[in-house]
Amino acid sequence: MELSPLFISLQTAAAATAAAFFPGILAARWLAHTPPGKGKALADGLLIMPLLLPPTVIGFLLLLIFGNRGLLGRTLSEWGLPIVFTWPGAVIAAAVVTFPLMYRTARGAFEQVDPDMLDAARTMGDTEWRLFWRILLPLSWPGITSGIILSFARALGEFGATLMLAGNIPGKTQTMPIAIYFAVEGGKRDVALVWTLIMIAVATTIVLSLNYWSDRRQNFAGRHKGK
Amino acid sequence: MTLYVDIEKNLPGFKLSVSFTAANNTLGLLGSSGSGKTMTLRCIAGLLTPDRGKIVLNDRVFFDAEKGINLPSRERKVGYLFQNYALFPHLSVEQNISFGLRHCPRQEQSRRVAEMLEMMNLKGLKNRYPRQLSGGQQQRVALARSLVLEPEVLLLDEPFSALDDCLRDQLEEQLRETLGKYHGHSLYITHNIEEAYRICSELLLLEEGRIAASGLREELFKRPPNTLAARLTGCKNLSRIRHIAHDTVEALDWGCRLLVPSINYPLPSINYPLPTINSPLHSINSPLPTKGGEGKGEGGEDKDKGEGGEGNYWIGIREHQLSFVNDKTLTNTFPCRTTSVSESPHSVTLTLRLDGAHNPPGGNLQAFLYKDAWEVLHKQPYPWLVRFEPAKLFLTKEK
Repeated sequence: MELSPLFISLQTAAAATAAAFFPGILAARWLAHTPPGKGKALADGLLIMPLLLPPTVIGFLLLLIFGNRGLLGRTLSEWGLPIVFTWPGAVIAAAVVTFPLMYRTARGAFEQVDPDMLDAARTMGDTEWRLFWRILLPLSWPGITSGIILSFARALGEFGATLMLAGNIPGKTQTMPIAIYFAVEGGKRDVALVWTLIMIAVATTIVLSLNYWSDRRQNFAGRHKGK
Repeated sequence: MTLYVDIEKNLPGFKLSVSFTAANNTLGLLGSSGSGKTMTLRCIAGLLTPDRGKIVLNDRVFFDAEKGINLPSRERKVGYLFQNYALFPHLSVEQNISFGLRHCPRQEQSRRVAEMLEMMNLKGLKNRYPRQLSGGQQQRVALARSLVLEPEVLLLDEPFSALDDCLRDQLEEQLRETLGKYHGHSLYITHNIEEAYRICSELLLLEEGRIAASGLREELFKRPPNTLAARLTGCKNLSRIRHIAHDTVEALDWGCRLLVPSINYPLPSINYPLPTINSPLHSINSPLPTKGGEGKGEGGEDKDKGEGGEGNYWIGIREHQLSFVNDKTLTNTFPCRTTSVSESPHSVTLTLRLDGAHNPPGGNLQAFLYKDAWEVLHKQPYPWLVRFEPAKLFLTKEK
């Protein structure tokens, strides 16, 4: 049995999580401490959209953008960076679908931080950028970690958008969920079963590590006791 | 050193409009919750931007709406002690204190931190984390963290509200000591009247985003300039008055006529003695004064003068300054009875009604007694005799 779908899946999920991480926490930082209002609600709605739309809709929209008829897609192709039916395409599809999870968990974690602490850092001479690194991020780190894990899990399971943008190219863009689908379609039920067991194992690991992190979150002082 | 503040800020349902100048000591901002105390402090610290006005500390302009100046918080060099201290839970005591010293060379950093640890009695705790400290220790760390930056002004936002009573007294002592050592302005906000009086020599009374009164604490408590200030400084007994003679007023809400010493009387008056009126009056039956049918016995001239000041002035006396006497002939002494009693461990607050006063519109008089005095008084038969000692009465403007 070809094992490439496992590695492609892990690589794609890791790259997609990394790609969603920075825009995710920047958007979270931006919206976490803005006062409620119409603008905030609208921005939040747009950012969360990929979570609400069916993955095939995301996949189709991405095709419109990155396909040869789309301006961005044509330009990238000319530069020798085709997206459609490539591994970067799989990463982009998974990152877009994953982004809302990253953004939402990070925002929740930021909102948990007492705003007085940020104000305290401000009165003590910190710039916004510096207090983000010195106060906000360390204090919300446990929450952000669970955001990373959730995003990774979601990226790992991504099927619809990936298939539409990156297709099913064994050894290149064929991830585990896609391998399962085509195995079943091709009548290879035993192969599908193996992949399914592997996916269950990975999911279990993720759930366990999530619980581990949320335990750490409850006991903040404990994190430093060993020091 | 002067701190000049003159700001306005509009929020839905609330308008902050304060202006004051603070001299070189501890200024207290006293007001109930929602009066705009914290908002004022946040504007000074640069954590909130006013809509209009100016904030200047010494020569440094923090904020000037007209010139478009708004110094960011980090450049204002203002110490801020938060209500819940806002210590950084992921940093040790030492790291918390050195947080703002990033720009200093390492050596100076550790010297200053060591100095602060010493001064604040935190030496043994420098490697602990905030969660591992008691409320009092946390407060000391928070103070140390602000003071180590040698701020020109220290803003304290209800530093004792997070503590229980027992600890509060101890810490207050410590804080007063620390503030004594610190040479800069401090602005202290609280809703606790007694605490404000103990800690601050000068007070600013805030109500609904406006300053009701300001001044030296002794003056404010002795002669509050208006009824709002009187209430904010804890005066429960206030009554509208009607001018009867140059040194006599009728307290409409209590139902009696009172002799008022001319020095306390803000209306122009001639200083000669008049016979004291010692009993509650017939005229109480018609509590609201009308121009025609009132005060038959009074001279018309006097009455007109009274009408001029009427409604603008109130009379007040603090609850602990009402005294119970045995001599009916003393000035301002009236028979009374109590309508309710509220007991505390060492004292009693009585609600009184003067005999013959029929449902006075403003309601009640409150008297404060220590338990020993109460033990004696409550065994006596009605009517008791309550005295409004003239020197303790104050007249104050309506607001």
